[in-house]
Amino acid sequence: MEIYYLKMLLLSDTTFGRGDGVAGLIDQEVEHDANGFPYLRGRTLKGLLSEECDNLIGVLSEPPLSRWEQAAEHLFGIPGSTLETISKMHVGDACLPQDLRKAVKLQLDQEQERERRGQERRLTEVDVLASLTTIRRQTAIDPEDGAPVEHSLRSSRVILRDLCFTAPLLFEKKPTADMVALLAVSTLALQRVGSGRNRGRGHVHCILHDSIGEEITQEHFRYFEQETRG
Amino acid sequence: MNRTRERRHIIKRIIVRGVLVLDKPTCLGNGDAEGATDMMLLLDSISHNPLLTGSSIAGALRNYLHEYQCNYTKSESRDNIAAKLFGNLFAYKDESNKNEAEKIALREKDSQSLLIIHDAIGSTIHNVEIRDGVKIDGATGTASHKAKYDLELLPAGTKFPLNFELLIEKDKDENELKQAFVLALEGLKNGEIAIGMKKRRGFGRCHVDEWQVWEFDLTKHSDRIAWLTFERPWGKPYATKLPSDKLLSNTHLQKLKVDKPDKRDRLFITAKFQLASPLLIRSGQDLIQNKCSPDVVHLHSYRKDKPEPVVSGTSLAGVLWHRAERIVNTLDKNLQIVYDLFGFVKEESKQAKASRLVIHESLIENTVDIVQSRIAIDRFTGGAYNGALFQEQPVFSISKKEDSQKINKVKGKLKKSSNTSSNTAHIKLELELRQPKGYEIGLLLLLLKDLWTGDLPIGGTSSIGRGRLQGVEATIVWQQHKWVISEENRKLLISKQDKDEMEEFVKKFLEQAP
Repeated sequence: MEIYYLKMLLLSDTTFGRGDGVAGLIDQEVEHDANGFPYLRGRTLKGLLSEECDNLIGVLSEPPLSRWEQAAEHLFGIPGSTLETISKMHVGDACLPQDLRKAVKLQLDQEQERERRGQERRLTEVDVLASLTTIRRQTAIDPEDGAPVEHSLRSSRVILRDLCFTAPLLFEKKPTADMVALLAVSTLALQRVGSGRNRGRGHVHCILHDSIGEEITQEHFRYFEQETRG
Repeated sequence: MNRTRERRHIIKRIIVRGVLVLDKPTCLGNGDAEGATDMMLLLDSISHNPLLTGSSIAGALRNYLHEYQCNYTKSESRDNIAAKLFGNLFAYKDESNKNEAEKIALREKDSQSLLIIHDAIGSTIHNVEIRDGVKIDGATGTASHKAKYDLELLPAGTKFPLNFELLIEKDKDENELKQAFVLALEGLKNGEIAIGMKKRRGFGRCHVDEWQVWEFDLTKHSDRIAWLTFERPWGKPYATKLPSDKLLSNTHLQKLKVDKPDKRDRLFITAKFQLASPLLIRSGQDLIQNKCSPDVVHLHSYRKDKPEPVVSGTSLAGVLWHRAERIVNTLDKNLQIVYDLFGFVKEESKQAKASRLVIHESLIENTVDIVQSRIAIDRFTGGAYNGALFQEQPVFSISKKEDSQKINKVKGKLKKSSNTSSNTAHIKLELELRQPKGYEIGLLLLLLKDLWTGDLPIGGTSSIGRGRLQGVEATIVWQQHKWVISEENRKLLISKQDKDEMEEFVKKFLEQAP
C-alpha cells in the first residue's frame, strides 16, 4: 500500500457545494460533516484532478502521447471500467486537520453530555460550521431596466480562505513514475475548485506530499518536464 | 471507451493583472439586512479589508460589453460577445417562445465562462464614509416619512488588485474572444465602467492605470511549464514569461472597434458653475476630530484622505427630479416622462426601473468653510426661542484673491484654499442621458437653464438664499453634435446655429412630449 497526500490551501473563499440549502437562510450550503466541519468529497476531488490531467494531455504534442494517456487511464480509470481497468488510485475526502477535528469532536461530545444532564450547550455543530464559514449574497441585474431581476437574490455559504484541506491518495501497488508525475502536474494545474470557481471563489494552491509528509511535487514535476521536453 | 471526450482543449491561457483605483466613493454592500447602517460594506473575513467579488466584476464587465454591442435596455442573446466571453445565461428572453425540445437543443450549446475573474481584496480603509439621504416629498417639499437611509461607502483612492485569466479553447474564435476581452479591459482603463450600488448617482467610478499581461501558449513546452509553475515559490527557473502589454497594443485587435462600433446612444452635459450663494447639503459628519463640530456641516467626501466639499449625485438628482416634475405638471404633460428619465420603484406592483440619467458627484473647488450661528425667532413675541441657537457650516465661494484674504481676516487665521487666485468655476456638474429622445433633451435644457440662472437651488436652507448657482460654461455633446454655451460679463455667448438647434429640442418637448 502506497499513500500520498494532496494538500489544498484555500487562497479565496470557497464553496464545496452539496446541492441543497437551508430553507429561509441559505440557498447553497457547503458540504460538511456531522460536527460542522466542511470537506470536499473524494469523488469530486478525483473528478477535478482527472479533468486537469485530461486538459494537460490534450495539449501534449510530443510522441508517444499514448504513454501519458495510458498513465492517466491507470491513475483515474476509464468510465464504465471493469476490475482490470479500474482506477489504481483511491481518493479520500479532503478534510481539515485531523487533530483539530478530534479535539472539537471531544468537546462536542462533552456538550452533548451536558445537554443530557439538562444543562445548556456552550458549543454546537452549527457554531463550528459558522466559525469556519460565512454567507455571501448576490443578485442579477436586468440589462433592460437596470433593476434587480425578480427572485434572483440568492445566498451561498463560503468556507473562509487560508484553511488547508488534506486528502489521502491511496495506491494498492506502487504507482509508476509516469503516474506520479502526471498526478503531480495535475495537482499543480488544479487551481480552482467548487461552485463559482470562474468568479473568484475556490482559488486554491495544491501540493503533493508523500507518506512521511515530504513535499514531492517539484521532484515529480521535473520528471514530467524532462519527459515531455521532446 | 476512452477519456478523450472529457477534454476542454484549452490551448492558451492569458493572465491579466492590474490595480483598480476608486475615483469616487463606492458602496459594495454585503446584502445583509442587519447592521449599524442600512447597507454595510462587504469585508473580507480574515483581513477585514473591503472585498470586491469576482461576480461583481464579471457583472459590471458583462453589462458594459453588452451595452457597447447592443445599446442600452436590450436583452442579451446567445450570439452576443458578452455571452461568448462570460458564458451562457440560464435562459434568454428571445428563446422563451421556443418549445421544450428546441430549448434543450439550445441548452446543449451552452458553455461556461472562458474568463476567470478572481475576488479582489482591497487596500486597508482608514476612513469609511457614512452617507445618508432622504426622499423628499414633491408635494410638500419636506422629508418623506420613513424614507431616510444611510450607506457605508469605501472612500475614493481605495485600491483593488484585479486578476483575470482568459482560457482560449481550440474550437473557439481566439481573435473574437481577445477582442471582447480587450474591449472590457479598455473600458476599465478609461473609467467607463462603474462598480457597486447607485452607479447612476455618481458612486462607484473607478479606473485602472496599467495592465500586465502574461500569455501562455500551452501547446508549447516552455509556456506550458511556465504556466504550471507560475508564481510557485520554486518556479523561478521555469518563469520564461515576463509581463507585457502586447495583447492590449495589438493593432489587429483594435479592429473590433471598426467591426463592432460602440452602439451606445448617450448625451453628455458638462456644465461649470460658480456658487452664487453659500451652499449647504446637510450631513451628519464630524469633521473636526475630538472637537465640537457645528450642528450641521456641508457634505464632504474623502479625496486623498482629506475631506473635500462635494455636491452629491443623489442631491442633484433630487432637485432636478422635482423641478422636472414641476415643469411637466405646469405644462400639463404626463409625469411618465419624469419616471422614464429618473427611474421609479413601485412598491405595490414590485416594479422598478433604473434612471437613464447618470449624475456624477462633483467636487466644489475654491471654497471656504465658515460657521454661521442662527437662532429661531418666536413669531408671536419677536424674541429668540430659548435653546434654539444652532450652528451651520455651509461652503462659501472664494471667487477672488481679495475675497479670500477678507474672509481669512474675518476669521482671524489663514486658511489655505486649493487655488485662491482662480476666479473661475467652482463646480463642474456632469450628466449623461442614455438613449435620449428629442423632447427629453428639451426638458434637460430647461433644467440646465434653471440651474444656470440660479432659479433652481441645490441643497438645503434654500429658503434663506442658499444653494444658488451661476452658470459659467456648458458643453452638450450628442452623437455628432456639440453645443457650447458660456457666459461673460453677464452676457450669454452662444452661436446662432447652436441656439436654434437647442430651441428645437425645447419645442419638441412642448409639442411632442405625451
